[in-house]
Amino acid sequence: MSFRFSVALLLAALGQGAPSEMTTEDILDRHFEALGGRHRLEAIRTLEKAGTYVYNGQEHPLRSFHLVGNKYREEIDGLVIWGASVKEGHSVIRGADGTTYWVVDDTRYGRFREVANARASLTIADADLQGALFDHERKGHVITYDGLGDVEGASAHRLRVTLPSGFELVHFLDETSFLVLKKEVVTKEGARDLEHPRAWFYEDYRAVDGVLFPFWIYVEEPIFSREYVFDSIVANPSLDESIFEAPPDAIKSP
Amino acid sequence: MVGRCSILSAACVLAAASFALPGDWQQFRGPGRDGKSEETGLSRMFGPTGARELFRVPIGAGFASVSVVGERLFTMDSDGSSEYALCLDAVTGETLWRVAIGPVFEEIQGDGPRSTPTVDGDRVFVLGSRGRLAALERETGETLWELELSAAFGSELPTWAFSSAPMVDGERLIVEVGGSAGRAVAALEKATGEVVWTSQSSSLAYSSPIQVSFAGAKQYVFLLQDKLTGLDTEGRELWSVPFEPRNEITPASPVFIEPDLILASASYDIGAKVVRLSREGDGVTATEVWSGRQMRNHFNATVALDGHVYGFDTGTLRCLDARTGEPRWAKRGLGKGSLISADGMLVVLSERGKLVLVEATPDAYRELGSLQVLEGRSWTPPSLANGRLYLRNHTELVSVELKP
Repeated sequence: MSFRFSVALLLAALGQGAPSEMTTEDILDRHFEALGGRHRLEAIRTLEKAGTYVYNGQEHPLRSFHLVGNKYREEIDGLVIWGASVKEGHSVIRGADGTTYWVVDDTRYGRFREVANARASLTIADADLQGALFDHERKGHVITYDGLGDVEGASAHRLRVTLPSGFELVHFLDETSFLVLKKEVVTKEGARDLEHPRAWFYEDYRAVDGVLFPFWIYVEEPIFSREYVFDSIVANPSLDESIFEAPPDAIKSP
Repeated sequence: MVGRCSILSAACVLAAASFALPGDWQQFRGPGRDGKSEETGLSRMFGPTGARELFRVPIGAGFASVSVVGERLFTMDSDGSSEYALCLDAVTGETLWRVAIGPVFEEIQGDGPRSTPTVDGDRVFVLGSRGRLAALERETGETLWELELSAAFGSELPTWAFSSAPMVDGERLIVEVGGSAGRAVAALEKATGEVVWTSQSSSLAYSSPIQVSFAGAKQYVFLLQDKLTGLDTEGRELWSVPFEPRNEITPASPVFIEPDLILASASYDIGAKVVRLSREGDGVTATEVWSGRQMRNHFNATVALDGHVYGFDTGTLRCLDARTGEPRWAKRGLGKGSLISADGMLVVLSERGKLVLVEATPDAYRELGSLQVLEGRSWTPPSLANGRLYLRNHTELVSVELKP
């Protein structure tokens, strides 16, 4: 064994520890430390984001508002779901009040108006401002460590988060930075109960009030994927809670 | 007899090639229908001393890409009522002729023609999205013959319209026609449009066939709605493997990976399948080598280079080892784009109209330069002819000079 290789092994052993020796709690501790600390994340109760929503090759101005308790609202200008055009003067507005997902959208050509319960449930879960890993026991999330995996060549710890709804969201945490690179889930949707895989990819982490948030999110779906490119994220703005309630003309699910 | 046939075949090839010269891009995905250009000496940067815009002209809605022979380019577009075949000056963008091909196809993902013209000798073969196949005189656009696929083959208008690009082989025109009962694909006399043979009963699947030379024999490879198959030049099936996409949509062309692999890919979470062709007695068999979700082409096909494939796995540009499917690198942020290869580069058009030059290497994604060429959604793949790149969307056609 060469001297250089021996030193490398020693450094690895003294460093972050062999992945197999890490526990779920170890990984979570490193994750929240990397984000900026649990206390800082807990102090963030609301977020306001602005940027661009990219869908089907079109860019749309985006504003979104988030409140702890799985409440969110996003307003996307000119968006035509399933369409190829930008509809000026129109916005798709959708959100969740913590238990119900809702959409206001009059551009669907009378089609695709229903929102599958699985999609709604996942969207509500994803509206957790602090993420599914934070305070997971109180939320009823069961987390197990699935060992190391791979995200486009980057080694990552895989944490399987089972939600009370039964959905299993596998989080991939970069082995070095402990930031979430990817999250994936498979649901069954539609009349034929087809498997519907989704994956979220996170990049461009920047500090907001001392906590790292991804400023680029890519949501991969079998048909239409989408990107969120944020120009700004503001922590703890004052928000009127009524904005998270479904408007009278909204389609709601479940 | 064998000798005579060989001499005749060689003569036919020479005749067919008499108008298409090195550097031309006479059909969908280029000379080999594989997205590869043989051009060299191309610029690797943009700006005054590098690649620069040559012309920009308005164009109607459509997804047809550009075919180029000499100083003329051919494509298709539409207005609110009709679809058209177009001939433009390849250097200035001036319209030389515009011929109506049939009523427009309208759909929320985009109106107009999907198929790309094929230029062969003094003819241009076009397929309107409602199924009118026509041979046009190259110089004038005059119609030499035409037929309606519905009348000739019992074809029904598919959900996303007729999209396949016609393919010339010698004196024949090979087309996915989507007919019923053994008439899914057809060979026609290119001079007259007379039907020579039909084959296959699978439904139409929107992709364009390729020609493959394997074990000393030519075959046509089709990706149909339920299978990937190779036919001999008389339409007899040599081999097939099941390929059943979700939603029955496989627009991306099959890709030949020399010397013996064929890749098929589809989106909607289907993925890719690579088969190996083998000679078995007088026949050819195809055996699956690998399959997986790591390359899900939504509509634009991959490019195979030096044992690797480069393509859009829905919204992620990926490089995979062609023989194993092992990922080599991935790049997001380009949407469901398209690409061709030339001079050691990948010439990539992002879904939002950004032209990106990328080093064609499996080692890593290395961007050489980029230029925002088109605004809005751009699903049509680039064409490269005589040092000039041609890019379009539903409103503009742009040429970028890549020769410094």
